[in-house]
Amino acid sequence: MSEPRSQKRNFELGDSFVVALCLVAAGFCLYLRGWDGVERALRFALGLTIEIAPMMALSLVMAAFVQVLVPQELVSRWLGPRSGWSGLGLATIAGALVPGGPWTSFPLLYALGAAGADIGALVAFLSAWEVLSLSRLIVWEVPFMGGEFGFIRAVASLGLPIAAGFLARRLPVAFTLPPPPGGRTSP
Amino acid sequence: MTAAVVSFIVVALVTIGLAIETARRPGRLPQAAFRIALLQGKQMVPRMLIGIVAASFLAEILPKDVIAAWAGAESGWQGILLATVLGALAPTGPMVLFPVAVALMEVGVGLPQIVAFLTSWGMLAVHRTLVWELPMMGFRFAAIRIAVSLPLVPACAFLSGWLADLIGRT
Repeated sequence: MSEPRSQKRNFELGDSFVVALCLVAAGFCLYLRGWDGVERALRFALGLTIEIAPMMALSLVMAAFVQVLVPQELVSRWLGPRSGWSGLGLATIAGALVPGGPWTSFPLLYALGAAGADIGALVAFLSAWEVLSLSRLIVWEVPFMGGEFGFIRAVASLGLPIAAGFLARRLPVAFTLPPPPGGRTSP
Repeated sequence: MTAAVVSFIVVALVTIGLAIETARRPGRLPQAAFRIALLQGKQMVPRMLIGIVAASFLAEILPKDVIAAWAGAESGWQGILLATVLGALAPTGPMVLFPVAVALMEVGVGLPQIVAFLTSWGMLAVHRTLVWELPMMGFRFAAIRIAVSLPLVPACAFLSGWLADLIGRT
């Protein structure tokens, strides 16, 4: 990656990518599915927004409390760049225990990053929430797919978060968290 | 719906617990926490809204007949790759995903392919990256995480197929 190192620029790059994707997808939707399709998509978007809004607001508050409560030196000692395998393991266990959807996990992920967790621990944490989430296994997978399927998939996934975190630490790409809330960001 | 209500109640209880603990500590921590939440929300909400609209358009143009065609195929690694792509594009939460996975299992899709579908939805979901990861963590984090996850999804599918053989499940 060769763009400038500035955090703000990364953020804007991601933003314009999403806006471009949105416009292209909207164009294809109109071309392939007509105005009916566009209306269906917008209705879906509205429904989804209404559905996640209360949870989101609540989780932002929760994550903010975590941010002011969890002592920074503790996080950077346990999950920081020098936390080694135990940091990856700890992050994996923490990620597997986080309940709920992305409205819960992402604010926590940001809070951990702000408190000093490194890229490996953050990737391990998020990956564990993605493939080993205990609550999802209990609430969704076992009822739908059966215990045997859930067991096989979970066992096959056990190593994934640690492998992902390990590889992320070795990628020669520097990572910095986007500007903290209340930083130099303009409205 | 019930699962959503239950998780809302759980998060609410945890939040109340954290609020009580924050209030007991010395200093003006609750005010600091609310300021953080407000600023973070202000930063995220517009980006999330664009992400949601983009994901919705993607959902609308996804060719559903491809999924049916794929189910008939005797797949192997090609099926795993296709399942990986489909899982990444599935613009939905577990309430739609798991019923789809059940339907796939019933029409005879192999276990490694279904594992690839579910794992890819977990690690590579495009909509989650658009709506949550990019707004909160930035482009660089998403790029690193996706790069290391790409080979891991098919690896997990193959491993699960091997495990299934091992314990005698077809």
